Amino acid sequence: MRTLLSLALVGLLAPAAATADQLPRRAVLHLALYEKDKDRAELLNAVGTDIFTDYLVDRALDEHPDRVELSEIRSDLQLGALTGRTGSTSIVARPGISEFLSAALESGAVTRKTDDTSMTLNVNALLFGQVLRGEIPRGCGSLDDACRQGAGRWLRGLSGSATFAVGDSGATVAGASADTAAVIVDDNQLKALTLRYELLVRERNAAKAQAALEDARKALQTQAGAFLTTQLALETRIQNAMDAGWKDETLKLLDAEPSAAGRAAVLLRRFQSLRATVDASTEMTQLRTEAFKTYREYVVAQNKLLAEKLYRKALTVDYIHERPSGQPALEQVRLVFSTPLGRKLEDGFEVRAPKGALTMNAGVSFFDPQVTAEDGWKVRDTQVSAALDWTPKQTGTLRATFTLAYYFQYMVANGAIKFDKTAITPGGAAIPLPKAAVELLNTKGDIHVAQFRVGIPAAQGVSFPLAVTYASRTELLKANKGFWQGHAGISYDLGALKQLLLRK
Amino acid sequence: MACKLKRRQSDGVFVGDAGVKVRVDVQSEEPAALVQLIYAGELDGTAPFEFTIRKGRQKLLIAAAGVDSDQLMKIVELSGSDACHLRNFFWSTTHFHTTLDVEGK
Repeated sequence: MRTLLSLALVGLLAPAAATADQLPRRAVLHLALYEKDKDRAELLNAVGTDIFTDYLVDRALDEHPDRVELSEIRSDLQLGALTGRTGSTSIVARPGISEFLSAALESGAVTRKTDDTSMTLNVNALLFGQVLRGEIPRGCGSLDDACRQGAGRWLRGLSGSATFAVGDSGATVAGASADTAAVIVDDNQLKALTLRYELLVRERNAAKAQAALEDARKALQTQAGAFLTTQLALETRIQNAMDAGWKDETLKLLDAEPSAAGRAAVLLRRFQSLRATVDASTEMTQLRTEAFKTYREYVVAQNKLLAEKLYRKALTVDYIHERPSGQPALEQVRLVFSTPLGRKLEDGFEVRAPKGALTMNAGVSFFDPQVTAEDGWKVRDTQVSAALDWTPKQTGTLRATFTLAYYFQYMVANGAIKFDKTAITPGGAAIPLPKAAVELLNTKGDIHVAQFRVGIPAAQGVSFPLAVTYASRTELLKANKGFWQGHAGISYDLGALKQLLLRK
Repeated sequence: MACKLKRRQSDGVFVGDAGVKVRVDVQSEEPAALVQLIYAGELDGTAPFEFTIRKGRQKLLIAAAGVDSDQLMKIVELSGSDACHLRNFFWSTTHFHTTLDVEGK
């Protein structure tokens, strides 16, 4: 399935894979400062060797797609269904979203005794934004600032998902009382649509952030030393090329150019001509290759540290339109919060992902007014839940995550099941209903659910969640005893698709 | 105390007397930290970040860490309690170093 999806999307998105040769971001910013203050120092900054190597790095990033995804060091991604009322393997939603695309196949609902199987597709709005701008849809990679500046910074937090039923379209629902026969009610292939916004709760406390940077600074010494050494060699050689007339001529042209746009165009042309000189020199090409290697090593280490220290806490708002089997549509609003536990670096140089995480959910579900028109937006239930994740040190090739979770749901209103005139009993007898009907069930009260879950990562981006759940009752039957339920699934974080796109 | 580096407007090179010790740092409204510098091939990763001006022209490269893309940092020379602005530097996770050309007289 993953291959098929990848191939299909590569075909769809390939026309957007063109890249433009453009000024590096810092050159644009220095020129903008010059336009504002007419401070010649900013023109001098824009023609520096560091800014020209930015230009070379940007071109090299276009050519070298290997990137480390922030998601690789995050275990808080919600790749599966965002509702527990259909096929799902988790009773607590995680706050993270895929930075690209994800897909999950899961079975076993949380508050219903069922073997429902569902398929969830999740897509990040950043990807769409990049496609619309005609850029390579590379999502948010650690060697890319697309998700940390401009509109991308906000789009990065927005995602949408759709959950579909897989397999039988009919669902068997137990009767409302012990003497009522079970019936097969209408079922929906589309189980849920979700809009999610992730607020990256960065540590805005300046003192905390400063302390975090000081820790990062110490941990980056080795990579910084290697990078600066190779970069110095490259920039010294480039300086020689600049001093052979390029810099004087460039400054003369920039001084003579009357418009801001003209200055930007001049600088880009001058960078292009200098790049041709660099590309023609075997010595400079070798220096450039070495500098780019240490550059990547530094960025990977830096971004892991910054992600650990500045981007880990998350607060997410979910809006979920649910269409559970045999029940009227529900609307749910939910907050999801997660914080890592034990974030301290364990030694000076090696970056270690946090071993623990605490996740909390709080939500409220409403009946759609079309179901209970006389009541309008009537509250159906409220839920709170919490999960404690523990990811012990890797043993062998596996680094599984173990989760203990508790979920509490209070049914504020009676539940409802929906029939239509096609509903039949398992024996085949039709129920004589003149039109679609809703029956209210006596379901007010508490539901307690506990879960033990193991997430087993397999190949890159593939994970197998397995879980066992105990629930005190089902949503629609109050009188029955508690029940055990098993869950199994497979999830795909389709980050690898980006590699295919970037190699094109 | 007076700062020891002065910028030449014709080519942007910072000029100072050879043999003089110079301390530099980064300043920013958002949190920032100087990670390491290299001058004439010699690394310094521990505060106070300093180097001794050599005769002739050398490059000073400074790597920094910040929290925001396009974060404006100022490279400053520290002289006693004074901080002299040397140049502006836009930091991001992909472009995290800046270069100053230093010429010792």
